[in-house]
Amino acid sequence: MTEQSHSRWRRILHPESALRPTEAELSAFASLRGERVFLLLSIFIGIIAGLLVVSFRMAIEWLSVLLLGSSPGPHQGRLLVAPALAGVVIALLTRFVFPQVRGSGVNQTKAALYIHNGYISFRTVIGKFLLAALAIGSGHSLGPEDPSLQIGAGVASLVSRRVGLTREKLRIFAPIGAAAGLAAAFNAPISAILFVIEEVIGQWSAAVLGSIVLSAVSSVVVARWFWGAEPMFRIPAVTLRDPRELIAYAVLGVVGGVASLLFAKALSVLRPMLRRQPGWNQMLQPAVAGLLVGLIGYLGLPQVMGAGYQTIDAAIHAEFAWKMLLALAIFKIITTTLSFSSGTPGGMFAPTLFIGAMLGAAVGTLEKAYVPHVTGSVGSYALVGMGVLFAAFLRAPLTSVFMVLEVSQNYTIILPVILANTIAYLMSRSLQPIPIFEVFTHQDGLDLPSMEEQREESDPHLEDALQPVPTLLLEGDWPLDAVRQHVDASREADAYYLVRCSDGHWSGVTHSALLTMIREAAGDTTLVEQLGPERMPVLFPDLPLWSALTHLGRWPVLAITSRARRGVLVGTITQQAVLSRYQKENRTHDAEA
Amino acid sequence: MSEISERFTADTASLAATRRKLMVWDAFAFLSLTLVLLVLLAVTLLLFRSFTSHRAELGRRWSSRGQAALTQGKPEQAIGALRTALEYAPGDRSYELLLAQSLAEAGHTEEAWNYFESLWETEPGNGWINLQLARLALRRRRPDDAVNLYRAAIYGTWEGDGSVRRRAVRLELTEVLLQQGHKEAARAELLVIAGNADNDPTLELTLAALMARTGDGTETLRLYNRAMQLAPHDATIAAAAGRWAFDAGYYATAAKALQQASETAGRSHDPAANAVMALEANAERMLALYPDEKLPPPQRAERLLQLRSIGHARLTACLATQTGAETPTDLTLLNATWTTMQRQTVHTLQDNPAAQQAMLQLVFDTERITQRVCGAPAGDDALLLTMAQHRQTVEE
Repeated sequence: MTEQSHSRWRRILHPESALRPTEAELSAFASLRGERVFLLLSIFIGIIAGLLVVSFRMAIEWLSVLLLGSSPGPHQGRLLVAPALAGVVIALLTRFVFPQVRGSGVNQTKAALYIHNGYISFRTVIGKFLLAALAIGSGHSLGPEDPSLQIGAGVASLVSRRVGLTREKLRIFAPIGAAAGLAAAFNAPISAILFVIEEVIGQWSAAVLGSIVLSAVSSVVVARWFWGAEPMFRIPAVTLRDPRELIAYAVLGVVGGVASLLFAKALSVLRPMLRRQPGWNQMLQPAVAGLLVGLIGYLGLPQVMGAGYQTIDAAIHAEFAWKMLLALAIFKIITTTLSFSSGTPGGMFAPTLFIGAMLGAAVGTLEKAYVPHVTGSVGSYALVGMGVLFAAFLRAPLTSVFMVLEVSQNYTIILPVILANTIAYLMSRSLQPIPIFEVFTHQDGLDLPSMEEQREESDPHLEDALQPVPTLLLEGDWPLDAVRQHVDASREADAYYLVRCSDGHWSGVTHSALLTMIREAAGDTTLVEQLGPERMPVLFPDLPLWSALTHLGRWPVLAITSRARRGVLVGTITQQAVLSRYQKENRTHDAEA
Repeated sequence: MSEISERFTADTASLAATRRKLMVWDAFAFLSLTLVLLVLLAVTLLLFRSFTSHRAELGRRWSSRGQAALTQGKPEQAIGALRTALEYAPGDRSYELLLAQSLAEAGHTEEAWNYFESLWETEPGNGWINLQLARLALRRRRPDDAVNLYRAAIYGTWEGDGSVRRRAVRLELTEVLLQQGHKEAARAELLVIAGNADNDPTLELTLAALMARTGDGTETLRLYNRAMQLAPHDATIAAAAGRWAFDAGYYATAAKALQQASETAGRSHDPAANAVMALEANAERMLALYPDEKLPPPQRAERLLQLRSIGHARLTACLATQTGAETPTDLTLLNATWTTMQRQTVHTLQDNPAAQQAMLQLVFDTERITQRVCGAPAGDDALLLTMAQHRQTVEE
């Protein structure tokens, strides 16, 4: 398509630029059309993202068989060679062809949303697909979910650009695609939606929720069409017969909290250290990381290589003794730290789930051995362990709970999950105040909004800036003669009177305007007749403080009324009061910082 | 006015045109997207088919290797191969069961237990899984759990001939119960099997052998007899029945069964056959010696007197080997008792059941004490000693 036709269409699509008599109609049509296109595009994006994620997973598994053999085992030379050579290729391509593909993909998607107006280049999508598949397939200890999220976001960005949407729409398409990519990778639409809301957007937004749901569901439908409707892991029956068993899950929560701290510390120390190295050194890092990861596999733990889904499955089915499970968790932390810190593209989700599953299964196995009345299977502990690490390390508590429910397709596990996840999350918050994604953001020199802070921020309400009910109250149905008796002529000119109208609404007038009115109008006309039909907006104390801002230009003093009794004044709001409240808020933030 | 009208008409036409253009553009955009999507779908589908068939092939290849290794008695190799097979065909039940079996056979008891337990959780009524868990519970020294799991296996579901498999499990359970000393429980299980057994002489023979270990002679005898009835020309069954009957003191049955065994086997230089013939001769001699209460009184008295002669001769021979000062007290007392018994005749004995019992008891006591003092007897004395050891059974 030529630039000329683009600009023509841009003019058509953005009617605000064309000052014609039919502007309003065209604008209304464009708005309606935009909403419809938006929803329809969400479905298309979901389907395309689903297909790409299916291909991505195939590519990983194919490469894995090709590079590591169909049965990778200890003392196989290719375990050393494959990840190291793949590291060399990845370093070269990352440096010269795909410079934007480093890292997991979550922060890159957030950066696209908050910095680049939703723009993710097609080259980045291709690079992420190829290099992440090569890295994971060759045995680097990384996962495919976060890259899937970025691939989905990239597809959304590309499609929405081609269709020609507004900048605002372009920006919000990135999280829609991200949800689709993650949903297809996880085969869990609710978790993907929640994760994108918790970690990418940071807040519930009605404007995009419908589209996120549509795209996530579309992508999962596609993924399930290929892989089947089975959940990601085969979960054995989960039961909680004895409430005392919750103590065992609480112990798991504590273990998960400590493990997540270790994992986060390791990453937050090694990653910046490696990034500070000179360029030639950074070029070698993926290869060296691959070699070290391969060495661990070669020496006896090939399970820690790659995404490790099979090993998670094996742990869920109690195939390992507790010592082995513990060893796998520890070495997975080491290998993932190495792979991720070296700049190899790949995600953190699968390794987090892996570590959580191993720890959970280890705790479950130990507890079953030493506390015979424990009825929960090792699988249920592994499952809760996954949620625990997800909550503590990735700091997405809501997603972690729903992820376990979706993956297990069993609601009976809800209590252990909530308990263990909450303990781990609170431990992680107190021991590692900055979430890991935020740590990476700072390390990368970006300044993205903190989702955890956003989630916890509570906007001040009108009641927080409420001023006492003033004495300057007038009744709207008073004749001006009567009003005159209530007005003190010596008042300042900008003194403001609130006027109660007979319909329960409020109006207002300045002292000077009121005096003019009294002077010029007939004495038997009522005050409300002089004020005209305009009324103050109806505001209640629980509304957000910002809701007053748009009206303060027109009404210097706003009446705040009771929700229980219509028209009854509970206080007033002034511009000064609003500003003072926001200044106080800032001072509190600064003090906390 | 007409200018305004013309302008209004022009604006309306322009709006309609713009709308049309937008619609055409959207239709074009979505058509393009649909085409892209269809191409992507076709490519993914092609790749996916190739991918899944390749994985299935890998799964089959590794499971065959695992099965072969298991058959060759290399369970460790089988574990690796089957784990790989399951990576390519996750959830394949047959591979999972084979892997669990390999783990058990390789001696990874805890791992196998955990694996079977997880399989059990998805299929708690599976007989085979319960059986494997029962065997593993035994290895883990949890006999009570084992018994419960054996029972769950018996009442569980089985592929193929369920009744035969359940019977085999019950037999295994019986063996476990016997090893744990729960003879009554074992007997109950055997009675259930016997009650449902079809006409299989080998099974009856097995049941009889196990029943013998529970100590229920009557039931054992019944089972042996049934086995012989079902397979009258089976020398092995007859010999086994005869051997047990002789050892247990059922000499009539022993003689009959051993005779049947000898006749069926025919003349042979086989040591086993010779042993059967010797045992048959002993059984017949037992019958010839034993003063059965069903015999006419004079005949019974005569037999008792014959036993007295044998017993006394044994005592005399034993006493001859002892020097006076060192003769054991019980032997001396026994000799004194014999003095009173020597006066009994057929006439005095045939009408006096108490005297008959006393004489029989004396003969048996003599054989027991002389065996302890002078060593193992031979010939009729050996037979009398055996008879003494199974007196209750013999009398029954």
